[in-house]
Amino acid sequence: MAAPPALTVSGLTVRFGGLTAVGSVSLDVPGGGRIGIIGPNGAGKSTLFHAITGRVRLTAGRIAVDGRDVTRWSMSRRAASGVVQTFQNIQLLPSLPVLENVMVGGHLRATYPAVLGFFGLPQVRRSERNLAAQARALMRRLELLPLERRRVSELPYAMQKRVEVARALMVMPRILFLDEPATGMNDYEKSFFLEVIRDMQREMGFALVVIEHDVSFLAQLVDYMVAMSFGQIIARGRPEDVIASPQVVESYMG
Amino acid sequence: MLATLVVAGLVAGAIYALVGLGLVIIYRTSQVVNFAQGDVSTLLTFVGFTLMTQWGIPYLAAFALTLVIAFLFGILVERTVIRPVAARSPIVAVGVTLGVALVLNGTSTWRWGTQVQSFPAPTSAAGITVGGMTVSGGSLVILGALALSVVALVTLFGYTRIGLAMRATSEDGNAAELMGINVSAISGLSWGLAAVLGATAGMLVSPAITLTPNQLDLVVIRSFAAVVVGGFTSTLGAVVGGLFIGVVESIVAGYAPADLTNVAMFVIVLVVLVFRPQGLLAAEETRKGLV
Amino acid sequence: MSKRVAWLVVGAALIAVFPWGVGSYVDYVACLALTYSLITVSLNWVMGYAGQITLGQGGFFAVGAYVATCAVAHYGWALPAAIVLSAVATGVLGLLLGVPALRLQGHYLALTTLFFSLAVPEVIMALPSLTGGSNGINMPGTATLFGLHLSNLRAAFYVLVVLLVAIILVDRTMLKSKLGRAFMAIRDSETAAASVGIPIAVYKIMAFTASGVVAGLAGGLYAPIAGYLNPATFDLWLSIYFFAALIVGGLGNVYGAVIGGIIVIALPQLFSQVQNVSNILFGGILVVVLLALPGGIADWPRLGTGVRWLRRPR
Repeated sequence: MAAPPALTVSGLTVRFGGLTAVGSVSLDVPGGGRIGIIGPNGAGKSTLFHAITGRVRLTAGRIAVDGRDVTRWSMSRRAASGVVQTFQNIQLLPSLPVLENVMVGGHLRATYPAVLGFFGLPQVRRSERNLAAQARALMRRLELLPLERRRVSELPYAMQKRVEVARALMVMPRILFLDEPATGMNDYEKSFFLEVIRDMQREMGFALVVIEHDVSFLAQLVDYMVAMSFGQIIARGRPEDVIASPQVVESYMG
Repeated sequence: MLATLVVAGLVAGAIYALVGLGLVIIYRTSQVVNFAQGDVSTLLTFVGFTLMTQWGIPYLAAFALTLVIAFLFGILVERTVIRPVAARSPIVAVGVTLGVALVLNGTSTWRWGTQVQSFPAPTSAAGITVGGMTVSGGSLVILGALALSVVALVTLFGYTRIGLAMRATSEDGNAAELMGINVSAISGLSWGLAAVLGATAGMLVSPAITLTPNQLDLVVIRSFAAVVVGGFTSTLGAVVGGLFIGVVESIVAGYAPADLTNVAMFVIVLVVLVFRPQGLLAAEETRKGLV
Repeated sequence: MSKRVAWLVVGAALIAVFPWGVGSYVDYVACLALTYSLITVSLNWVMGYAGQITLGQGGFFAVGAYVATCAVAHYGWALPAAIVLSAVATGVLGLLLGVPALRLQGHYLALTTLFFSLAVPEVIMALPSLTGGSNGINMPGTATLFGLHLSNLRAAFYVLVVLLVAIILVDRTMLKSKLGRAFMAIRDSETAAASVGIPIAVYKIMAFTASGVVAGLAGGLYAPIAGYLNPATFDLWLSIYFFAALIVGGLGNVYGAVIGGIIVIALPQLFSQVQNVSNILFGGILVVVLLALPGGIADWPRLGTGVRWLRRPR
């Protein structure tokens, strides 16, 4: 029997008052898959992410991770089961330096009960050292290591996005949702990021779902694309087919 | 006798409702719980006291003058310290109202001392006797003041442009601003009104409870309880909640020692806050807190 | 000699040359200052690190003091055990107070915690046979902490210093652990916290519980030092003082909390003839700090950089 997809979304609908932000979206993400989501502003892409990760409550529909129904789960519970996202409006912790911001992603993988944090026991110190080492390793891959003690608020936007990605990777997600990770990046940074994410995905084995405006960048990263407009999916399939489809072109123009 | 207790409770409740109305008006337009309401009311009551007893101004004129001062004072407080912080984190907004409370309490104590003062009663008339009960003149004035305030507020909110602007601001401050309403002026107006209501309550209740800088705090705590029960966003809730608290308190005090009454009240408040924070009369608010 | 060691030496020297015996009132104030600092540090855990507004420390302080006193006076408990009982009782109360914090935020949470602090003295007065009601209750003079009479204010002072230093160490350690990071994540961005799997409710409750324990401990120690308790001490204003002390001293900064605790005591003493002036001043400073200097005194560039140089690179 085939394993269930990493993520199954069926009939996902999100309504705010009278406005339907996401209208009955269904999507499967296979384990280790790479899916891109495109669409004009206001198409409901970020809202879709928020509904899947639990930041926003869905009005109707069902979400399953590895076959388990997580529709009623809180955001942190979903994160614990491997559903992690980065945000379009960056959600970093301004009062902590970069290293601690990344380390916070390893919260669930610290090997001591929280209460022991009050006491500097060897078990705690060891776990903290491990977390710090892992965080540094991730930061090195994303070329963030020199910034380890800097305040995140001092960093340029694109770097802040990379810190968020590092934090998300620190969780060791099952499915990673990136909301416009390449915004603010120049071409060099984009191709660097592309390579790093591809490598990390191969090594860590997570499924990847990415919202992006730079469609050609996205086409190099993913092997399946979904186009949204006004809360609905209007096209899906291979990147080149979706990009060329008349409905998609029209949604961007009209 | 139960009826006497109920009437006494209604009178006390009317006081709580008056102060509570001020709390609700402020919360609806500024989204701020005004922890300084008690000390603002106290200061203004002392002002009225000075006007009446030391400057020799006749009661009604002094009362009216105090209300005018109250209105201006409320606007002043809003403009100087509240406006800069109303939109910031709750810790800041709450902290500022607490700071104002401290400053005003200190000022009242400094200027007027902690000796018990005797505040003039509005009337020494004997009042009316209904069904074997006597309702004193002073009590009638209090009930009348609440009724008058409610009528005035209903008229203001329902039939004037300013009132409409205030309701719009309470509903959605951003939308109101976009529609051209001067939201900051409305905020100032709300604080002014709240100060007037607080001063009214303070001056009317002081003859009965004697006036000291901290005395009114006890009243205001019950007003907070009233507004919690009735709902911070509901003016009707403030009135009903105030009367409810007043009556319940009066009845319980009639049969149980005073301290248990207080405990009972706190228990009611904490229960409501935990299980139905939006209050019993307000509409269902957003799930995650009511900031 | 590193800066940190220098500070410790200065601190120790100050403590050593403290003019004992100048007047027992001065000694008492010094003890009270340390007690208040302890409580403000505990407040900082909830409000400064976890970002949850609370006016409940006065309530915990009162419960801690009364539980210890009643245990010793009525049930013959030894003082150390009684103080532990205080900490447990306030810990449980902290846990319970954390529950509303899950549903309420901001102004409503402030109101709820304030009502808690107001309810405690009322409950105390409603149980006069246990607590002495409004007449107050004495901590029996026989109560000793491992042989130390805390009514000897000098001994009490040293005990409090040791405890405060210990709590500060706990504070610093906690910040470098997942616990501290979780608190600050909840404060800075609940979304970010949730996105990495932090169970926000659990940590909020933990913050309230821990702060309750420390404030209760402070209360348990205060009782034998003061010797006599009266519910009027634990009034509405006390909770406001702790809140203000933390803000003025420096929200989110343990040394700011200590400074705040000391200021809150010292200020009225400077103006002992006119206590109200100190209220006016304190309230005024609170408002000014909130309007202009959100980081409190500890953030003032010229006055010491508090936490930063003490944070060792990992």
